[in-house]
Amino acid sequence: MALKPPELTYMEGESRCDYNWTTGEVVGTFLAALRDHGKMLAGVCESCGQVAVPPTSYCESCGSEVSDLREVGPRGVVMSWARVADDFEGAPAEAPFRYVLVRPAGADTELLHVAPDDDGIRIGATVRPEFRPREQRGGAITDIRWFVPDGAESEGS
Amino acid sequence: MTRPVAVIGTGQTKYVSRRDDKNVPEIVREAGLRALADAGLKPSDVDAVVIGSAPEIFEGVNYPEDWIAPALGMCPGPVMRVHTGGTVGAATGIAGFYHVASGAYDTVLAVAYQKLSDGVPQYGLSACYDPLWDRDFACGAPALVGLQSRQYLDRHAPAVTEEHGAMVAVKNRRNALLNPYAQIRREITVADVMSSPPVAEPLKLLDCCPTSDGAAAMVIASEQTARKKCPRPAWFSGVGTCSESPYVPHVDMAYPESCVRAAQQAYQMAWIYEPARELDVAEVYEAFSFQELIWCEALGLCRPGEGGKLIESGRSDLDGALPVNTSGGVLSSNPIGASAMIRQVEAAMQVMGRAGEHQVDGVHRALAHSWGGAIQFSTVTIFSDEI
Amino acid sequence: MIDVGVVGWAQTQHGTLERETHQSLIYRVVNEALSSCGMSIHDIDVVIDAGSDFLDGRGISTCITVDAMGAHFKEESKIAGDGLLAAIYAYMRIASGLFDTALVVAYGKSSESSPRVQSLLMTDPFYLRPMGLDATAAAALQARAYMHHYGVSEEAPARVAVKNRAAGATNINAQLSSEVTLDQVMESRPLVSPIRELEAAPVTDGACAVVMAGEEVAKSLKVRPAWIAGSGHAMDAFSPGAREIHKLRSAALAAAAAYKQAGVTDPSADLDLLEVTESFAHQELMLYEALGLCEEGEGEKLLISGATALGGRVPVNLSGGALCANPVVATGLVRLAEACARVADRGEGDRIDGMSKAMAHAAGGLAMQTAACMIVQG
Repeated sequence: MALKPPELTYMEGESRCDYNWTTGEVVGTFLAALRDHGKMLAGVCESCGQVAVPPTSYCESCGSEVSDLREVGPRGVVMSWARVADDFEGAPAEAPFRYVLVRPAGADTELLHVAPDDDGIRIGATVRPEFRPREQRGGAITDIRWFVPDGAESEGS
Repeated sequence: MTRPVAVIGTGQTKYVSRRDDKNVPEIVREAGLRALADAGLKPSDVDAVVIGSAPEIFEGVNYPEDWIAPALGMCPGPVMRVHTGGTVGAATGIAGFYHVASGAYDTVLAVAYQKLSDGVPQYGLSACYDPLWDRDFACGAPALVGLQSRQYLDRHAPAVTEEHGAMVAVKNRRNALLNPYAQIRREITVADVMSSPPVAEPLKLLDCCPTSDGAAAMVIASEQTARKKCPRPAWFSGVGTCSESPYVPHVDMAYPESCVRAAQQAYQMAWIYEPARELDVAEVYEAFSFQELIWCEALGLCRPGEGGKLIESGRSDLDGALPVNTSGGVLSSNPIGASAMIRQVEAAMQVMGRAGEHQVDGVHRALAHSWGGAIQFSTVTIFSDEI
Repeated sequence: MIDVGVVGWAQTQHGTLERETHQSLIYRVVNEALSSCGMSIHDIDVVIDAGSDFLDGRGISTCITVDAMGAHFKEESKIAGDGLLAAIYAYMRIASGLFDTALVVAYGKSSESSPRVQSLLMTDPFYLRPMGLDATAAAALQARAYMHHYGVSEEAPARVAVKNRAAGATNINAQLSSEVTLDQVMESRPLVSPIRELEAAPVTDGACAVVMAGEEVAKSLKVRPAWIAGSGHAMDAFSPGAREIHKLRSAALAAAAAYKQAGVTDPSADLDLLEVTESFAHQELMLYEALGLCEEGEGEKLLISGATALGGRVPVNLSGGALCANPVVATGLVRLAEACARVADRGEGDRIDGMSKAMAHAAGGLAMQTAACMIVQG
């Protein structure tokens, strides 16, 4: 008897899990500084001196300890950008928007964030962070709404 | 044969149900740096890293080694992640062994970790079941091991009873009092175990392991480096792993063939003919009490069906002729992805003479065992004080 | 030093394989790889496999694939990374002297879930995850940084796509087997600019298996092996902002290790072929530089010279590369199979006269944070 190909070739399913990630002290302090002070902190490596933002408790360059945090920015330079045209679930901003790698003044590394889809967002441009209103900040990297060209009018939140 | 390879340093973090002070990379770094310090080395002395952890869904990061390994301070450099389920900690140590035994690298840092508190452990365990066949009625690990334990008890009744499982739990919790890294350090009695709430028949709460956050690490080195840096290296003398097809009706869970074969392989390599007599200490992966007896039988540390006799005799007690799980075992600490490496670390520590308060006298050869999957993966690692 | 040879290889025809399960893909490709060298599963001492739990939608993916790969009652271990890393580990197993033969298996069915979500999950929970960064966005940031830094033209990545799609058109296993023109690529839909749709790898299901053997066994077989001359792997910093993102340091280090072992001092002269993993077209240009085929910043020049096309001085991706088929997890192992097919003298159609040394490259992580390389010699 010849077998018919099955109709049920697919089974749908979903994997959804809740998380409660421990941040550790350095990450926690950085996030708290965003929320409470509207400031960006960078980690200073006690061995090679690299100033890294956002900070980790270990230097990604030389592997030594990082416990000293210092303020950087607020202004920074765009080191790269990429334009997202279409919305997607979990997007950090409404499309179209740009991803940016921003090197805040005083830092040796770049922070990944977003920016408006504006011609002023180009490599070498100076940008500054626009924070969300204090009551909307929860201690997350998204407490910064985005980076806007320095000198640009705030578009209001 | 192969090049001589040894463990020359180990490190562990204190196992707790939730590390509130450090994130995953930081916990891994803690264990890694401790192992390096124990070996008298710096990160720059290490040629390669092998990192291992169980299903990524536990911490919720895909290819987590990309995020975590840089915290060990050896990037840029060779890093490889191993993931073999419950055996992963040991598979990581074993991969580290082959990195050196092949001649490809001289000194390797092997680290295994898990931070179960970041996610939902039972969900992660249930996600191991095939969505086509079993996931709808899966209930994590206790159900499967309950089945295994019931099979074991029924096969050997009345020689092995539920009380024998309880005696294992009592022994290991008592041993944990001498292990500063152990999570649960609270003495219990057989009556405590027997009256604890049922989890999955015949398993009761105190027959079961906890869930933990933690990491363990080993520095694995060539003969040349081992002789230079370590007064008493733990030489890899036998290594065996074996995987079995997962179809439960085929697997003899009460005497798993994969365990028997992995052990045979390791014993052959180590020239061990009578393991019960020739081994001085053993660390077996007893996530649930009855498993200690099951593994001891499958590993040939006692005859099949004589697990009850073994635990009753006191032979596997800390002061017995063949102490099993002097560390307190998985029943006392269970950061899943690290648990199998902790067995290797503890076995190596015994050979190196660095087991502190739970050090057994005169250890020449130590065995570390692990299991994983649907009771289908097994590893056996034997360390010796001589090549 | 034990010589290890790659003696057999096979890959599936890649595509959206609706009627295939993981097990059916693995079972078929393992059998074909064994047939290709006249061996049976009983001749295999150890199985090293590569798979991804999240991709499979199951924890401990090997639980249900271990029998399909013939690892029942065998030594077996899984590498949670690209199949080429599994090949490197398998090589170590044989080189240790404790095993004579090894089977390497890698597989993935990207069509079963969202590739975007798979890469989104590669982010850390604190700094990158809330930004929704995925593989394409990370690659786009890298592309722009690279092109700006070295003054690379906007068409250069598109020319890579044209070259590789033309090559893929002659590859029976490739998913995308039709050529594209430069205009078609330039006009294709932007994904995350500057990356366009035809400059990105497709969504692929596929598997690959490779058989390795130590010297003695390899020489006893009727087929000629591709000998492993060198290998290396490396990981760079995780944070994209903590790397020099316009360069591929991990690829340079991995290649350097392989070159040293293989005695390669001038890659563009010493290698007859490279099979690299270019999930995004601009990455191939960056790899020309990182792998030492040309000077820093000269990738576009090398491409335009025709040196890396069929018939050129140092062809790259004669298979069509990842741009024609990207069975995630298996992609790097496919590169190895392709490299072996070209250099091993088996009297078959795939081999190209005069080719004896080839390198396979695999990449991993966001913006190619990690790399692995293996050099084989016919």
